[in-house]
Amino acid sequence: MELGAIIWVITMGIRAGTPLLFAATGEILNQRAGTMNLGIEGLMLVGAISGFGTTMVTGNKWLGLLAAITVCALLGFIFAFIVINLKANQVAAGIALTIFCTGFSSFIGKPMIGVMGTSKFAPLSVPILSDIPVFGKIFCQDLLVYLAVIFAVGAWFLLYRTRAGLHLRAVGDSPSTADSMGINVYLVRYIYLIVSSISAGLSGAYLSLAYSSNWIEGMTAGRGWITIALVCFSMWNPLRAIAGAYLFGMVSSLDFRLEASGIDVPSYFLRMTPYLLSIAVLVFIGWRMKGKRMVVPATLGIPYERESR
Amino acid sequence: MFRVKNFLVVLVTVLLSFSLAGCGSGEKNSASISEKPSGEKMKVAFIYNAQIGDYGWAYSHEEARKKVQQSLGYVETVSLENVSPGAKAERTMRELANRGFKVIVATSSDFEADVLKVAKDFPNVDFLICAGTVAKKPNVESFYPKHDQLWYIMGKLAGYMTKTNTLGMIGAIVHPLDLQTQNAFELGALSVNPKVKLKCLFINTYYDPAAEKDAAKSLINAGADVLAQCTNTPAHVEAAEEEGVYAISMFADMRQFGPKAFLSGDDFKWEKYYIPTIEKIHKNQWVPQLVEPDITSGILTMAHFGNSVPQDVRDKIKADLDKAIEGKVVPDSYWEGPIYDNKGNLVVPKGQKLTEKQLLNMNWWVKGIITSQK
Repeated sequence: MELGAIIWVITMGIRAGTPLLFAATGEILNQRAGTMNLGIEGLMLVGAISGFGTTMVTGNKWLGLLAAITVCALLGFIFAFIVINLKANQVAAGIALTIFCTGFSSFIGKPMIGVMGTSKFAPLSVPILSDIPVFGKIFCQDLLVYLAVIFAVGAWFLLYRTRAGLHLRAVGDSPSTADSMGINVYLVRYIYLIVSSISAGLSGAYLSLAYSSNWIEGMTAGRGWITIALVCFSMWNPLRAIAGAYLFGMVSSLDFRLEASGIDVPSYFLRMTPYLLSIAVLVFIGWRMKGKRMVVPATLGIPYERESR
Repeated sequence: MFRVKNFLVVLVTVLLSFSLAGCGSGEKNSASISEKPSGEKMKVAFIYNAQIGDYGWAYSHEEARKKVQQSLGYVETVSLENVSPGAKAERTMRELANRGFKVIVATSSDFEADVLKVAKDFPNVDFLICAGTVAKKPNVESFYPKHDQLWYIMGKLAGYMTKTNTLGMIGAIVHPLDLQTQNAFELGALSVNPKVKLKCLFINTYYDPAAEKDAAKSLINAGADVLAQCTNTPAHVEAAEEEGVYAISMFADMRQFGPKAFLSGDDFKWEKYYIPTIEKIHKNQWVPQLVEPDITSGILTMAHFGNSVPQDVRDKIKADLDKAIEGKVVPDSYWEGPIYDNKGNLVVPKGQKLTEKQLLNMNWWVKGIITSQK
């Protein structure tokens, strides 16, 4: 495959990886606090339809983004109440949230099916970097792509270089210790659960406002679940999530490109590749981490009860 | 604390169950039929499996329905969008039949199985399936114009306009009717440009604009500079506009999505089939058949040329199209042998022509089409 095609795969891969990066970064922060948000797939869909619907009604894509953030923050708040205060099982509640959000988004999205978007985020060119002869194309991305990278780097900085990050990690690894130090465990978990819901909503809005400007039922195509795999793959480190997200993105943009070059593999197999990669990655991590100290936040999935200390 | 928590649990549960109930009734509303019962008029229902705003298939049928309503005073037409094939379509059609609808137009081959089930129980209701493959007395007819005849000419347009000698086609599923248009497209292009190749990518669904756009961009990156599609969205026109290449649109006029890229496309006049057929039903002269009007019927017309088509190409294409519409040439002479498929087999020997049966079961691509499908 020639250089032009490789550059194209990288460029499209970055675009395809951005929704994964948004959602994964938010979920890394959330899981570091010890809670699991398995509702990402559903929240992405809700973010996508809220963003697209609002943009079509108001004509302003920034209002669309704001709507996606607000609706998902609200859903995240309800989920946080169920999981932190009512101490429901986080896996079951997360899956229930996904099922609810999938149906909910399909329901409110019915009037929007088939409508082509008018206002969307178009690729921008960066002053110097985009003018590099062949490789410059990689830098012609829309605003939200750069926002995702800034978010991920910011999350890494927060986790490893600030006091707030230290508190966050303490809450995830040993909430009873954090509690006795005076950190409000419940508040921290609430905040980061809502953060992960907002980032899932943003990633969905990216899909419907930038990646392609329309709404189809189920347009996330399992990206929420790939995000969960990505969080494990990155070992709860946002910088690794950047690499992982773009890797997944490139695998999915590779499949059409390979087929267009005339490779004689049935298209069904090529479409499977991102999901096969997710499974392969998880198996690889499990195998490598055997025996070594796991980086998983120690109390991931276990509700915190002050009384039972 | 105990009491407050219980209250909150109950409140959250109640709120969630209200929203679930809301979802349920909302579903029914979107498929409910709202018309006043009027015993005199003949009731005709058009069902679509997509939204009319898709600017593709459903849109073109809806435009025809409006013309039917305008010209036939004795009918009362109704259209239902978003009827998904399967259980929902079957329920909808049964309900329509029970409410006294005389004619049900199912605008997609996806509805065929459901129509056959319902038609057995309602012999007095007449069913017209667009792009179906069966005709069953007393009440099921399928119709689809010889789309390939127009696409042979579209192929010539692509052949004139391409500079890289590579065309791109985004297919949905492997369906004989789509293969006919794809093969005719390439044969048309080859007739004016013997070096032309057509690359086909299949996205396995008629409606997925994001996948269609990705596939379109892959084809452009692989060298295609004129794109066409068998899917239901204008995403490939958008992709062509963004990348500075050309696009031809199937099923509808999609020029607004790519003013510089748009060359031409389909402009179906379905009413030229609907009006005479409904008239025949009204006069009790209707006999269900497999109706396949060709290009002289006026159903298949070409959209006006886009701005990028130069005058000499316009003249040549218009001349070819006029000859076909006026019946001055055999419109499907390209199905005469010898025709080789893209694996090298001789599918139609010299002196023979593709038969109806072969066309309806087409599962091969002509030489010059590159695809990874089998």
